[in-house]
Amino acid sequence: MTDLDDDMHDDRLARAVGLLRASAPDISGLAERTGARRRRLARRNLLIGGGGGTAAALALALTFAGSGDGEKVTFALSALPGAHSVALVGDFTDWRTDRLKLTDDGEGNWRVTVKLPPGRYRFAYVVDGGEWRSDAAAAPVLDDFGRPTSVMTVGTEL
Amino acid sequence: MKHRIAIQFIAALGLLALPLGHARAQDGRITARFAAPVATRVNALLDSAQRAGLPTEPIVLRALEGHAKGIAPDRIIVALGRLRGALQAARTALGPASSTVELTTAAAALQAGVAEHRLIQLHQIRGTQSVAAPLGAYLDLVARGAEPDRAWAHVANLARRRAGDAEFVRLMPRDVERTAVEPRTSNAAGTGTP
Repeated sequence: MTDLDDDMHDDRLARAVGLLRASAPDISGLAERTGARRRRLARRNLLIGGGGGTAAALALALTFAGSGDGEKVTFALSALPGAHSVALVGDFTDWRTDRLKLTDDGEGNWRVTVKLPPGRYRFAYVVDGGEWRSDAAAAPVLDDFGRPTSVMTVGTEL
Repeated sequence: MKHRIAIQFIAALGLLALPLGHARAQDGRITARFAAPVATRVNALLDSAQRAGLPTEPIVLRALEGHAKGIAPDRIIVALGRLRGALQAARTALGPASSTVELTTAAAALQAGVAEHRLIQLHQIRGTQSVAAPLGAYLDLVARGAEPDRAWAHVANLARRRAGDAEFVRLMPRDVERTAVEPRTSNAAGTGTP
Protein backbone atom coordinates (compact mmCIF):
# COMPACT_ATOMS: atom_id res chain seq x y z
CA MET A 1 0.00 0.00 0.00
CA THR A 2 1.21 3.51 -0.71
CA ASP A 3 0.55 6.76 1.06
CA LEU A 4 -1.77 7.58 -1.75
CA ASP A 5 -4.03 4.77 -0.63
CA ASP A 6 -5.16 7.06 2.14
CA ASP A 7 -6.88 9.08 -0.54
CA MET A 8 -9.15 6.11 -1.13
CA HIS A 9 -10.74 6.57 2.22
CA ASP A 10 -11.85 10.12 1.87
CA ASP A 11 -15.37 11.36 1.77
CA ARG A 12 -15.88 10.83 -1.92
CA LEU A 13 -15.05 7.15 -1.81
CA ALA A 14 -17.15 6.66 1.27
CA ARG A 15 -20.05 8.31 -0.47
CA ALA A 16 -19.60 6.26 -3.64
CA VAL A 17 -19.41 3.03 -1.70
CA GLY A 18 -22.38 4.01 0.37
CA LEU A 19 -24.44 4.70 -2.71
CA LEU A 20 -23.40 1.44 -4.35
CA ARG A 21 -24.45 -0.44 -1.27
CA ALA A 22 -27.49 1.68 -0.51
CA SER A 23 -30.02 -0.40 -2.38
CA ALA A 24 -28.69 -3.79 -1.35
CA PRO A 25 -31.52 -5.87 0.05
CA ASP A 26 -31.42 -6.56 3.77
CA ILE A 27 -30.75 -10.28 3.85
CA SER A 28 -30.60 -11.94 7.20
CA GLY A 29 -27.20 -13.47 7.87
CA LEU A 30 -25.58 -11.86 4.87
CA ALA A 31 -22.92 -10.12 6.93
CA GLU A 32 -21.98 -13.36 8.62
CA ARG A 33 -21.81 -15.24 5.35
CA THR A 34 -19.79 -12.45 3.79
CA GLY A 35 -17.38 -12.47 6.70
CA ALA A 36 -16.93 -16.21 6.45
CA ARG A 37 -16.34 -15.97 2.72
CA ARG A 38 -13.80 -13.22 3.21
CA ARG A 39 -11.93 -15.24 5.78
CA ARG A 40 -11.78 -18.16 3.37
CA LEU A 41 -10.47 -15.80 0.75
CA ALA A 42 -7.88 -14.24 3.01
CA ARG A 43 -5.08 -16.28 1.51
CA ARG A 44 -6.39 -16.32 -1.99
CA ASN A 45 -3.97 -14.78 -4.39
CA LEU A 46 -5.19 -14.78 -7.92
CA LEU A 47 -2.68 -13.67 -10.47
CA ILE A 48 -3.68 -12.83 -13.96
CA GLY A 49 -0.70 -12.25 -16.20
CA GLY A 50 -0.02 -11.42 -19.78
CA GLY A 51 0.35 -8.61 -22.20
CA GLY A 52 -0.96 -7.84 -25.60
CA GLY A 53 -1.75 -5.46 -28.38
CA THR A 54 0.71 -2.65 -28.77
CA ALA A 55 2.10 -3.44 -25.37
CA ALA A 56 4.16 -6.44 -26.35
CA ALA A 57 6.73 -5.49 -23.76
CA LEU A 58 4.06 -4.62 -21.28
CA ALA A 59 3.05 -7.02 -18.59
CA LEU A 60 0.04 -6.24 -16.48
CA ALA A 61 -1.15 -8.00 -13.43
CA LEU A 62 -4.02 -7.79 -11.06
CA THR A 63 -3.48 -9.43 -7.72
CA PHE A 64 -6.33 -9.95 -5.31
CA ALA A 65 -6.08 -10.68 -1.61
CA GLY A 66 -9.12 -10.65 0.60
CA SER A 67 -9.14 -9.03 4.01
CA GLY A 68 -11.34 -6.94 6.23
CA ASP A 69 -14.04 -5.00 4.49
CA GLY A 70 -12.91 -5.72 0.98
CA GLU A 71 -10.09 -7.03 -1.10
CA LYS A 72 -6.65 -5.60 -1.59
CA VAL A 73 -6.10 -5.37 -5.30
CA THR A 74 -2.65 -4.76 -6.71
CA PHE A 75 -2.57 -3.07 -10.08
CA ALA A 76 0.75 -3.38 -11.86
CA LEU A 77 2.37 -2.50 -15.14
CA SER A 78 5.78 -3.85 -15.94
CA ALA A 79 8.44 -3.06 -18.52
CA LEU A 80 7.39 0.55 -18.92
CA PRO A 81 10.85 2.11 -18.76
CA GLY A 82 10.13 5.39 -20.49
CA ALA A 83 7.21 6.45 -18.37
CA HIS A 84 7.43 9.29 -15.87
CA SER A 85 4.08 8.75 -14.19
CA VAL A 86 1.26 6.22 -14.22
CA ALA A 87 -2.13 6.95 -12.69
CA LEU A 88 -4.89 4.49 -11.92
CA VAL A 89 -8.31 5.93 -12.65
CA GLY A 90 -11.73 4.40 -12.43
CA ASP A 91 -15.05 4.27 -10.70
CA PHE A 92 -13.22 4.14 -7.37
CA THR A 93 -11.44 7.45 -8.01
CA ASP A 94 -14.41 9.27 -9.54
CA TRP A 95 -12.30 9.08 -12.70
CA ARG A 96 -9.84 11.62 -11.35
CA THR A 97 -6.28 11.19 -12.53
CA ASP A 98 -4.72 12.73 -9.43
CA ARG A 99 -5.96 10.29 -6.82
CA LEU A 100 -3.97 7.08 -7.27
CA LYS A 101 -0.46 7.04 -8.65
CA LEU A 102 1.46 3.87 -9.30
CA THR A 103 5.00 3.83 -7.96
CA ASP A 104 8.06 2.82 -9.97
CA ASP A 105 10.52 0.32 -8.56
CA GLY A 106 13.27 1.96 -10.61
CA GLU A 107 13.24 -0.68 -13.30
CA GLY A 108 10.07 0.33 -15.09
CA ASN A 109 7.74 -1.78 -12.98
CA TRP A 110 4.80 0.22 -11.70
CA ARG A 111 2.33 -0.86 -9.06
CA VAL A 112 -0.20 0.28 -6.53
CA THR A 113 -2.36 -1.62 -4.08
CA VAL A 114 -5.79 -0.41 -3.11
CA LYS A 115 -8.49 -1.87 -0.94
CA LEU A 116 -11.81 -2.11 -2.72
CA PRO A 117 -15.20 -3.18 -1.41
CA PRO A 118 -17.13 -5.82 -3.36
CA GLY A 119 -18.38 -4.47 -6.66
CA ARG A 120 -17.80 -4.30 -10.37
CA TYR A 121 -15.47 -1.52 -11.40
CA ARG A 122 -14.43 0.11 -14.64
CA PHE A 123 -10.89 1.42 -14.68
CA ALA A 124 -7.92 2.41 -16.83
CA TYR A 125 -4.35 3.62 -16.59
CA VAL A 126 -3.11 7.03 -17.67
CA VAL A 127 0.56 7.10 -18.57
CA ASP A 128 2.41 10.42 -18.41
CA GLY A 129 -0.82 12.32 -17.98
CA GLY A 130 -2.25 11.65 -21.41
CA GLU A 131 -1.90 8.11 -22.73
CA TRP A 132 -4.87 5.96 -21.78
CA ARG A 133 -4.28 2.24 -21.47
CA SER A 134 -6.62 -0.58 -20.73
CA ASP A 135 -5.42 -3.51 -18.64
CA ALA A 136 -4.53 -6.48 -20.80
CA ALA A 137 -5.02 -8.78 -17.83
CA ALA A 138 -8.64 -7.74 -17.40
CA ALA A 139 -11.44 -8.76 -19.71
CA PRO A 140 -11.19 -6.58 -22.84
CA VAL A 141 -14.29 -4.51 -23.44
CA LEU A 142 -15.17 -1.33 -25.24
CA ASP A 143 -16.52 1.54 -23.20
CA ASP A 144 -19.64 3.47 -24.17
CA PHE A 145 -17.50 5.71 -26.30
CA GLY A 146 -15.94 2.99 -28.40
CA ARG A 147 -12.61 2.89 -26.61
CA PRO A 148 -10.94 -0.10 -24.97
CA THR A 149 -11.41 -0.13 -21.23
CA SER A 150 -11.07 -2.53 -18.32
CA VAL A 151 -13.67 -4.02 -16.03
CA MET A 152 -13.02 -5.92 -12.84
CA THR A 153 -15.23 -7.71 -10.33
CA VAL A 154 -14.23 -7.74 -6.71
CA GLY A 155 -16.02 -10.40 -4.65
CA THR A 156 -17.47 -11.39 -2.42
CA GLU A 157 -21.22 -11.49 -1.95
CA LEU A 158 -21.99 -8.52 -4.13
CA MET B 1 -62.38 32.05 1.75
CA LYS B 2 -60.76 29.32 3.81
CA HIS B 3 -60.87 27.05 0.77
CA ARG B 4 -59.08 29.65 -1.35
CA ILE B 5 -56.39 30.16 1.26
CA ALA B 6 -55.85 26.43 1.49
CA ILE B 7 -55.41 26.16 -2.29
CA GLN B 8 -52.95 29.04 -2.28
CA PHE B 9 -51.04 27.40 0.56
CA ILE B 10 -50.85 24.05 -1.25
CA ALA B 11 -49.75 25.80 -4.45
CA ALA B 12 -47.02 27.62 -2.56
CA LEU B 13 -45.83 24.36 -1.06
CA GLY B 14 -45.76 22.83 -4.53
CA LEU B 15 -43.63 25.68 -5.86
CA LEU B 16 -41.24 25.21 -2.97
CA ALA B 17 -41.11 21.47 -3.50
CA LEU B 18 -40.19 21.72 -7.19
CA PRO B 19 -36.72 23.18 -6.78
CA LEU B 20 -36.13 21.08 -3.68
CA GLY B 21 -37.06 17.92 -5.55
CA HIS B 22 -34.84 18.86 -8.44
CA ALA B 23 -31.95 19.63 -6.13
CA ARG B 24 -31.94 16.06 -4.85
CA ALA B 25 -30.70 14.86 -8.23
CA GLN B 26 -27.91 17.43 -8.46
CA ASP B 27 -24.42 16.07 -8.06
CA GLY B 28 -21.52 18.28 -7.06
CA ARG B 29 -19.07 16.22 -9.09
CA ILE B 30 -21.04 16.92 -12.23
CA THR B 31 -21.34 20.65 -11.68
CA ALA B 32 -17.66 20.82 -10.73
CA ARG B 33 -16.40 19.21 -13.94
CA PHE B 34 -18.85 20.07 -16.67
CA ALA B 35 -19.74 23.43 -18.15
CA ALA B 36 -23.05 24.70 -16.82
CA PRO B 37 -25.19 23.83 -19.89
CA VAL B 38 -23.86 20.28 -19.98
CA ALA B 39 -24.17 19.86 -16.23
CA THR B 40 -27.79 20.94 -16.50
CA ARG B 41 -28.46 18.20 -19.08
CA VAL B 42 -26.68 15.57 -17.02
CA ASN B 43 -28.49 16.60 -13.86
CA ALA B 44 -31.81 16.44 -15.73
CA LEU B 45 -30.97 12.83 -16.60
CA LEU B 46 -30.08 12.12 -12.99
CA ASP B 47 -33.34 13.70 -11.92
CA SER B 48 -35.25 11.54 -14.35
CA ALA B 49 -33.49 8.40 -13.10
CA GLN B 50 -34.12 9.33 -9.51
CA ARG B 51 -37.79 9.92 -10.13
CA ALA B 52 -37.96 6.48 -11.73
CA GLY B 53 -36.39 4.99 -8.61
CA LEU B 54 -33.16 4.08 -10.38
CA PRO B 55 -29.69 4.48 -8.85
CA THR B 56 -27.97 7.64 -10.04
CA GLU B 57 -24.41 6.79 -9.01
CA PRO B 58 -23.72 4.57 -12.07
CA ILE B 59 -24.86 7.41 -14.32
CA VAL B 60 -22.69 9.93 -12.47
CA LEU B 61 -19.66 7.65 -12.75
CA ARG B 62 -20.25 7.12 -16.48
CA ALA B 63 -20.45 10.88 -16.98
CA LEU B 64 -17.21 11.35 -15.07
CA GLU B 65 -15.57 8.61 -17.13
CA GLY B 66 -16.59 10.32 -20.35
CA HIS B 67 -15.34 13.67 -19.09
CA ALA B 68 -12.00 12.21 -17.98
CA LYS B 69 -11.53 10.63 -21.40
CA GLY B 70 -12.25 13.90 -23.17
CA ILE B 71 -15.40 12.66 -24.88
CA ALA B 72 -17.64 15.26 -26.50
CA PRO B 73 -20.56 16.24 -24.22
CA ASP B 74 -23.20 15.23 -26.75
CA ARG B 75 -21.78 11.70 -26.93
CA ILE B 76 -21.66 11.52 -23.15
CA ILE B 77 -25.31 12.54 -22.92
CA VAL B 78 -26.29 9.88 -25.46
CA ALA B 79 -24.34 7.24 -23.51
CA LEU B 80 -25.97 8.30 -20.27
CA GLY B 81 -29.41 8.07 -21.82
CA ARG B 82 -28.67 4.54 -23.01
CA LEU B 83 -27.37 3.59 -19.58
CA ARG B 84 -30.50 4.96 -17.93
CA GLY B 85 -32.62 2.88 -20.30
CA ALA B 86 -30.57 -0.22 -19.60
CA LEU B 87 -30.85 0.33 -15.84
CA GLN B 88 -34.60 0.61 -16.22
CA ALA B 89 -34.78 -2.61 -18.24
CA ALA B 90 -32.51 -4.34 -15.74
CA ARG B 91 -34.76 -3.39 -12.87
CA THR B 92 -37.78 -4.62 -14.78
CA ALA B 93 -36.05 -7.97 -15.24
CA LEU B 94 -34.62 -8.31 -11.73
CA GLY B 95 -37.28 -6.61 -9.66
CA PRO B 96 -37.40 -3.60 -7.35
CA ALA B 97 -35.28 -5.19 -4.60
CA SER B 98 -32.19 -5.35 -6.83
CA SER B 99 -29.06 -3.70 -5.52
CA THR B 100 -27.16 -1.01 -7.38
CA VAL B 101 -24.34 -3.46 -8.18
CA GLU B 102 -26.83 -5.93 -9.61
CA LEU B 103 -28.54 -3.30 -11.71
CA THR B 104 -25.24 -1.91 -12.98
CA THR B 105 -23.99 -5.35 -13.98
CA ALA B 106 -27.32 -6.35 -15.49
CA ALA B 107 -27.43 -3.10 -17.45
CA ALA B 108 -23.96 -3.86 -18.80
CA ALA B 109 -25.15 -7.33 -19.75
CA LEU B 110 -28.17 -5.96 -21.61
CA GLN B 111 -25.98 -3.44 -23.40
CA ALA B 112 -23.66 -6.29 -24.37
CA GLY B 113 -26.58 -8.13 -25.95
CA VAL B 114 -27.59 -10.56 -23.24
CA ALA B 115 -31.28 -11.39 -23.65
CA GLU B 116 -33.60 -10.17 -20.91
CA HIS B 117 -35.04 -13.65 -20.39
CA ARG B 118 -31.61 -14.84 -19.35
CA LEU B 119 -31.42 -12.19 -16.65
CA ILE B 120 -34.79 -13.36 -15.40
CA GLN B 121 -33.64 -16.99 -15.52
CA LEU B 122 -30.50 -16.24 -13.53
CA HIS B 123 -32.47 -14.17 -11.03
CA GLN B 124 -34.85 -17.10 -10.51
CA ILE B 125 -31.95 -19.51 -10.04
CA ARG B 126 -30.19 -17.27 -7.53
CA GLY B 127 -33.25 -16.46 -5.46
CA THR B 128 -32.16 -14.04 -2.75
CA GLN B 129 -28.52 -14.22 -3.83
CA SER B 130 -27.21 -11.42 -6.01
CA VAL B 131 -26.81 -12.00 -9.73
CA ALA B 132 -23.90 -9.54 -9.96
CA ALA B 133 -21.02 -12.00 -9.64
CA PRO B 134 -22.37 -14.63 -12.07
CA LEU B 135 -23.39 -12.00 -14.59
CA GLY B 136 -20.03 -10.28 -14.33
CA ALA B 137 -18.28 -13.61 -14.75
CA TYR B 138 -20.32 -14.39 -17.84
CA LEU B 139 -19.51 -11.01 -19.39
CA ASP B 140 -15.81 -11.45 -18.66
CA LEU B 141 -15.78 -14.99 -20.07
CA VAL B 142 -17.35 -13.90 -23.34
CA ALA B 143 -15.05 -10.87 -23.54
CA ARG B 144 -12.11 -13.24 -23.16
CA GLY B 145 -13.32 -15.36 -26.05
CA ALA B 146 -15.48 -18.06 -24.46
CA GLU B 147 -18.36 -19.36 -26.54
CA PRO B 148 -21.44 -17.50 -25.19
CA ASP B 149 -23.86 -20.43 -24.86
CA ARG B 150 -21.22 -22.60 -23.23
CA ALA B 151 -20.25 -19.78 -20.87
CA TRP B 152 -23.86 -19.20 -19.95
CA ALA B 153 -24.49 -22.88 -19.29
CA HIS B 154 -21.43 -23.05 -17.02
CA VAL B 155 -22.40 -19.95 -15.07
CA ALA B 156 -25.99 -21.16 -14.72
CA ASN B 157 -24.78 -24.56 -13.47
CA LEU B 158 -22.59 -22.89 -10.86
CA ALA B 159 -25.50 -20.70 -9.82
CA ARG B 160 -27.73 -23.76 -9.38
CA ARG B 161 -25.08 -25.23 -7.09
CA ARG B 162 -25.22 -21.98 -5.08
CA ALA B 163 -21.58 -21.19 -5.77
CA GLY B 164 -20.07 -18.21 -3.97
CA ASP B 165 -18.80 -15.08 -5.65
CA ALA B 166 -15.19 -16.24 -5.58
CA GLU B 167 -15.96 -19.20 -7.82
CA PHE B 168 -17.47 -16.90 -10.41
CA VAL B 169 -14.80 -14.22 -10.22
CA ARG B 170 -11.96 -16.61 -11.02
CA LEU B 171 -13.62 -18.31 -14.00
CA MET B 172 -11.55 -18.43 -17.17
CA PRO B 173 -12.54 -19.56 -20.69
CA ARG B 174 -10.68 -22.85 -20.29
CA ASP B 175 -13.02 -23.69 -17.40
CA VAL B 176 -16.06 -23.72 -19.65
CA GLU B 177 -14.62 -25.42 -22.74
CA ARG B 178 -16.16 -28.78 -21.92
CA THR B 179 -19.45 -27.53 -20.55
CA ALA B 180 -22.48 -28.97 -22.30
CA VAL B 181 -24.61 -26.32 -23.93
CA GLU B 182 -28.20 -26.03 -22.72
CA PRO B 183 -30.81 -26.53 -25.44
CA ARG B 184 -32.18 -23.20 -26.57
CA THR B 185 -35.78 -22.42 -25.78
CA SER B 186 -38.08 -21.24 -28.52
CA ASN B 187 -37.89 -17.80 -26.94
CA ALA B 188 -34.15 -17.64 -27.47
CA ALA B 189 -33.93 -19.44 -30.78
CA GLY B 190 -32.80 -17.41 -33.69
CA THR B 191 -31.89 -14.30 -31.77
CA GLY B 192 -28.19 -14.82 -32.39
CA THR B 193 -27.41 -13.08 -29.15
CA PRO B 194 -26.45 -14.63 -25.83
